[in-house]
Amino acid sequence: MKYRIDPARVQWRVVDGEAVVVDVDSTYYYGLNRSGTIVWRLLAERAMSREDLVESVASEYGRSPSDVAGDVTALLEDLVRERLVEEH
Amino acid sequence: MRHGPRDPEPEVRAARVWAACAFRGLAGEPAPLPDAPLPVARLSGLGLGPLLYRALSLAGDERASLFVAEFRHATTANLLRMGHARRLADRLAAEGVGAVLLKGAATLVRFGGEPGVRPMADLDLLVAPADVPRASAVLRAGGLTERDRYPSSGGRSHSMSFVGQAGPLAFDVDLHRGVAPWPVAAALARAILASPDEVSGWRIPGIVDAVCVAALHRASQGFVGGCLDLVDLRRLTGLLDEDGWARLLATSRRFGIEGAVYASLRQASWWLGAGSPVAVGGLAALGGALGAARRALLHGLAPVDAPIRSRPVLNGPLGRNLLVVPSATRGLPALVAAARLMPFRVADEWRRHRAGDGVGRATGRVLAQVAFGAAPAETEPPGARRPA
Repeated sequence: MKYRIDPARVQWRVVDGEAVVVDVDSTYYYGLNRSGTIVWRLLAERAMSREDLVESVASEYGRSPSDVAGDVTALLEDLVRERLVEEH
Repeated sequence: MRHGPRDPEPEVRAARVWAACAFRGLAGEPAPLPDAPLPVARLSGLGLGPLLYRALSLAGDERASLFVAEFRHATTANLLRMGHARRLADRLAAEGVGAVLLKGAATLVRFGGEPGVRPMADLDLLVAPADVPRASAVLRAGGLTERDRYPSSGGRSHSMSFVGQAGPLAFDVDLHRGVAPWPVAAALARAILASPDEVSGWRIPGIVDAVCVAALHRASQGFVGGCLDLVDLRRLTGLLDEDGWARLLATSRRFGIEGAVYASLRQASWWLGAGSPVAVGGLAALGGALGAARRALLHGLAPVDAPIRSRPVLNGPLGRNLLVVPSATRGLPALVAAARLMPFRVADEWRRHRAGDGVGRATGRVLAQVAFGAAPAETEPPGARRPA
């Protein structure tokens, strides 16, 4: 399973290192901290699986995949629940 | 000709040098920062907070943090507006209505870059008067509801206000059939609709027309608004060569708005820097075309430091309707023209304007912090909340 941002529904920019994400349909808006923004930027480049994201984030932070897997998974669950990211 | 007050007070001087610095930051390169004190509240009040964030952050100056909330706010609101604008424009086009973006949204489209650098209160769409009913229907079908922001206008305003709110962020649209509350604006609107520029799939006014729109908007506020129009004007006129300035002079004279254009550009030049020699010459030519007497009167009626002094400049129908926009009463029946010269009308319009939405004021309430890791403990939009 891969995750991707729906560009027709979601608009975003990075401000001061942190993503500002707007759901145009619901008009809710969200802030992602710096580590969350790393995940968001990766998803903005292309659809990715959870495993690929974990590998990329771990590489970015110089940590092992097991160290970041829990946080990445929790973030993905939040993003999917808020309909900012869709699974396919 | 003299361009400013002889001895501006220190805070005005400081605001001015910082405003020019903020404008230079739009070029995307670090600019030298002034030594003057940074009057944060004044500059924010002028609408320059987001631009200052950009200039200061480009320079690596920690005072950028003073304005980051404004920049984030404007970014959020404009992302929402432009996302909705794309959908509305597509729906309008499907109904055969050609809409043209005006003002802040048109600036964002023309110059691209970060949406946060140009705060705006609403999205302005211009359509032909005959298309207003169809366009209104499209907006209503899109979930927006009409509201009369200026109840005493009795539906005679040059625009209709709509608001949509599916969630916490309100989304305001002004549907224009004219570009200002004067007859001349109808002719300018027709010219804009007849030959808009097409940029990135959007329709926006041509550069000269956009200058005229910004100048009329400024005139309609009595030249005491913040600096957002001025920034637009300086950016737009920065694109003009000598022929472009000649077209601007000819166009503004054709519509009888050369006073409004001159007074606005004079303020822009004073606050944000004069620009190239071509721009200096172009402004001088506009002033020269007015004649010495009218130019001198305009200097008194629309002083360059008006945005910060909040004096009731031009709060009189004579100045605004006869000197600044002399065509405002041209061709009107005598009684209607006389009504436009009544003092209460100007004061009333300004009061209603002041009662409208603030510049770039976002109305959202929810900011969910859904990221992992340590959440930053700094700025959020007012009213934002984090989930427990």
